[in-house]
Amino acid sequence: MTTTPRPTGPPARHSNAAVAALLVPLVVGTAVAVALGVFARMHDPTGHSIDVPGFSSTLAVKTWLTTLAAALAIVQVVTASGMWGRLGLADATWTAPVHRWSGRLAVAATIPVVVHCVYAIGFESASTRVLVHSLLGCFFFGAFVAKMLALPRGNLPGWSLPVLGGLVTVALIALWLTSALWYFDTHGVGT
Amino acid sequence: MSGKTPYLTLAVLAVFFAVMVAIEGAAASDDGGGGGDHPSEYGSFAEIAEIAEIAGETW
Repeated sequence: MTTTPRPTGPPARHSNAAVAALLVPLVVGTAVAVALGVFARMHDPTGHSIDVPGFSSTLAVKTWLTTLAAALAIVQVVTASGMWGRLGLADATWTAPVHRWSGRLAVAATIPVVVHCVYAIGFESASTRVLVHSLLGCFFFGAFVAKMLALPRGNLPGWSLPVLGGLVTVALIALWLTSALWYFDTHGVGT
Repeated sequence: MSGKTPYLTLAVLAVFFAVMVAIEGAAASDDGGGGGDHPSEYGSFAEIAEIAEIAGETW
């Protein structure tokens, strides 16, 4: 793996070319979000759940995986702030690798959750919370893909990565609020 | 992060996604689809309906 240059702050790039460089990541990310939503809405949900030893239900497994991802999202915020010279962590060398790996683990933890949501339950709109959760799930993966595709591009506006990363984090926390917190509130904190 | 690492990350996560879809698909087809009577298939709808009833919500 190549050594990653540490960001020192948002560079002052506001040209049309810089904004245009965001186009492909945003289009692909949007396509991913729409594809997830359309598939979840159009196919017949299997209604299937898989038993996992140590957990009372599939929902409990999903709840704890989402909670793990939300905790890692907080790590993301702290390490990103450090990478951008905030929180007195400008000289810390651990922030970038911790940021990368906590992000990978967070998204990896959400994948079994979204697969079950999309495949077994589908896009639901029976209540406001469920509709918001369904929309957020699609948005989260679209925003994540957009951020991943934007990262290697060197000619982006300086605000783009913090904004994309912030959107991914906010979406993940909101997903937790509309699912895991609701589960804990209605079913109690347990496995 | 620079270079191709984000693309590799996306590719690995996409493979993981595909594996999970395969597992879900295999588990569902083993049971003949949703609503089966295997003890492990008291599926998400039943769970959700039960919990939603507690919460006073409609799914």
